[in-house]
Amino acid sequence: MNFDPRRAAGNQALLFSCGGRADGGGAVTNSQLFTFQAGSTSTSLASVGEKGTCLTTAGDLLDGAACAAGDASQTFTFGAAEATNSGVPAAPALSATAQPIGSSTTTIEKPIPTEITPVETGACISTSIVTSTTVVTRFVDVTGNPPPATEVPAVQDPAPPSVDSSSAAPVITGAPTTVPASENPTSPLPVSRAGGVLQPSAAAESNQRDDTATRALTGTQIKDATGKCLFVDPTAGDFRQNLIPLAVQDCTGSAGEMFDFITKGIHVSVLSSWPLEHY
Amino acid sequence: MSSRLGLLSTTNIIQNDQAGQTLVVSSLTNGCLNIDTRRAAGDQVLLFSCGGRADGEGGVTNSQLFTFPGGETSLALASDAGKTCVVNNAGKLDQNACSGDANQLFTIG
Repeated sequence: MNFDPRRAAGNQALLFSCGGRADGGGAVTNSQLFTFQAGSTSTSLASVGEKGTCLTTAGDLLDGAACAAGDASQTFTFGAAEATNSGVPAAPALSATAQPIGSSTTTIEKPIPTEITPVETGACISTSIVTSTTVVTRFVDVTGNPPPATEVPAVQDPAPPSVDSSSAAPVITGAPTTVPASENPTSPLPVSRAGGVLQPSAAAESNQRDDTATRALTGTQIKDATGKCLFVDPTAGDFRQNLIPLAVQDCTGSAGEMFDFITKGIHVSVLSSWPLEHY
Repeated sequence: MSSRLGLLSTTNIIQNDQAGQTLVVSSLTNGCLNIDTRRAAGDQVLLFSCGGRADGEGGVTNSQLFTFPGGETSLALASDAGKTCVVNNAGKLDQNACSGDANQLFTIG
């Protein structure tokens, strides 16, 4: 479970890869930490990252709101899910109206990951007790389903990509097998990271050109001390052209060697006190 | 051929100069140079969606802001208030503590 106040209102409480990296490579992000008292069976879930904000039910969605003591919409109970005939748990483990069924009452002195109550969708609550009385809680998907075929920085992906990275090798028909060095690919191609296949429209959405920006430099090469150029292979990242490593190689003048320096624009601003980090 | 296949609504972010800082953006993919020290060692300098959200909805992330007073033709690509610098590590960009070493200097153009 992740609370990201930098997303659009109403779309800020989302499941995201634990650690905040879409590819599972993250460690800890405070947007996924919630206050929790060991032994509680009914509690509010206050964001550690956005102090004063609690998870709340808003219609049939989970959202965030200013913490209000005693507000029923911010009070959640923890209980075991009912089993179906197939043995698959049927009831959500986290509900503002569910009846509490059991709880942990043991004081635990060291971090112990604990999974509680699988739910129908496979989501569960995983807790790591970090002090004898305070528990940091986060929600993880334990369905065994593949992670979103994307990655990195943040609570970012409102809709999971359609590419299933666990499926068989993608079939790409009618597509070139190499990318001309002079252009960004506009058709599906194999990519090195999550997703396996470039989704050009998703890549364009993720990496929109800021036409309002001030560019101190446009289309310039960047060379290291030996005269080699930084180089971008547009197929070296994930399906959205994120997480592309940069090579340092002999200069050729290709488009992959060109960079803009943006000193003013929509991504060069300080907007709030929220940590400017890429979680 | 244009790499842009569609336009989305722009974010309602107030623009504001951050004096002395720059994004380093691939002219090819429009991705931003990003240092993420919480990733595995050797895989911390990457292009990522500007703003730090994989889906393009991000605003600003300091992991993509690099010191750039302006006018330089040779500079270190330093992030984290000048503490972390981009470096060539055997043909792949990586990061190190800024030291002023020649291998942390890059020329532009």
